[in-house]
Amino acid sequence: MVNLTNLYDAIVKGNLELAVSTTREALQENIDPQTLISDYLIKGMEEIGAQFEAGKAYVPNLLMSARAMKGALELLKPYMEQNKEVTSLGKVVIGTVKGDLHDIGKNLVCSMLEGCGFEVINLGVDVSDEKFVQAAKENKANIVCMSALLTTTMVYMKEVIKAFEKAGIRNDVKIMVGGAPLSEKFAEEIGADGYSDNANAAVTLARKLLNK
Amino acid sequence: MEYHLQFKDLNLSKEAVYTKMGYGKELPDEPVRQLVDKLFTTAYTTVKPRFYFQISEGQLDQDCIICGSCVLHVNRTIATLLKNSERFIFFAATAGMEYQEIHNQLANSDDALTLFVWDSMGSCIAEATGDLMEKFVEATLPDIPHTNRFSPGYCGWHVSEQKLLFSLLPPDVCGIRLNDSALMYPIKSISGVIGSGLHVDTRKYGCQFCELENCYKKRLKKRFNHETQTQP
Repeated sequence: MVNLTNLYDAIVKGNLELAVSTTREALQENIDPQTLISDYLIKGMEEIGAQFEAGKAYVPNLLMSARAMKGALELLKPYMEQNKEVTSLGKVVIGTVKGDLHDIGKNLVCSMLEGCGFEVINLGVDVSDEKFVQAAKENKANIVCMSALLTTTMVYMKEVIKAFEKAGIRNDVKIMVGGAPLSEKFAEEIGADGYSDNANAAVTLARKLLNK
Repeated sequence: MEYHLQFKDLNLSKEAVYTKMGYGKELPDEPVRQLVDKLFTTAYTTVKPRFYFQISEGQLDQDCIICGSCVLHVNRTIATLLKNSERFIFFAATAGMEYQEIHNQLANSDDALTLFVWDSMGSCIAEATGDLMEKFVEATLPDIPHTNRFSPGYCGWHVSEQKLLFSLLPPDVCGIRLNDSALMYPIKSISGVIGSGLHVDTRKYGCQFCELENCYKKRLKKRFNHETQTQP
């Protein structure tokens, strides 16, 4: 009989092989995919996230955990599609704003969001307001995330928010911002719905904004 | 003159990369250390950093450096730190296209961990190339103190000024290109100015000069200081 504690441990330790093999075994034993996700995978991500917030884990730990989570979720996908009550937490369009080529923090947020069950559309770097709006419309995004590393490029975030207002879809999406020079105050000033200062906090915020 | 280097010339330590990755004085877990080892091996055979510098006459005027017909608006903080400069060293340094090509391959793969480590290494390579360049500057101008290096995009010097700065440098310097937003490609490149003169401020540049209260570097420092102070 499968030891499901291994699944939790695999996520916390970022052990992809163990996460995949335990998930496979659990599915063979007809264990409910929702139970696997809620009671083991998400709990594992919450634990590594808490360790990161407490300074007891580092970015590579988060990335390894997210990779293990993603590997397990890949196996669960077919069951999730059969069973509509287990679905994606939401669609996120994410990008680094126009003029800025820094993407490592943004990619970390992508990995964490995907690992935690969001569907992520990554627009890359140097993304214009039109591209953000178009991608949000095309994908029917629930959340738009913007990232910037430079004080000189973060001001463009306000332009993007204005573009959403102009396109008449500002109220259809939640807008999150992040990046080294930003602050909660800046997010409020430009009219964003939320700010997070690390990838784990971004996941928490995304879930909060969508009441998940 | 443009200098072409090998990765080994930088004497980059793995500990520096661990620090860049956020580990402070801690060592990463074994799998991460193995990954860093592997990427160092890759770097030894592929990465070719390069740098360029030129020594120019110029003068400070309030918040600007005036160099011939070129006026660089470096902002108050940097201008203050460049005070008493008798000449200016304009420079560019890069981890190089060979580094960038691997970065691009990783960015197109699904391996966020390796990309993160390679990206951290790239930042260290660019900075170490800049450090090495400073040694060449010191050899060129022996016994003349110089300031730290300052770059567009930092301390209020607008990144768009990078176009003006590059207009002072030779075309295609170190293989670096600027995009429409004046950002450099390869992305792990640095450029800027150093002041040189007998009475310049040689204090190490750091967070104490920066006006960004919420910057992650300041937060990391606070966290690290707090941890070291509370350890028994």
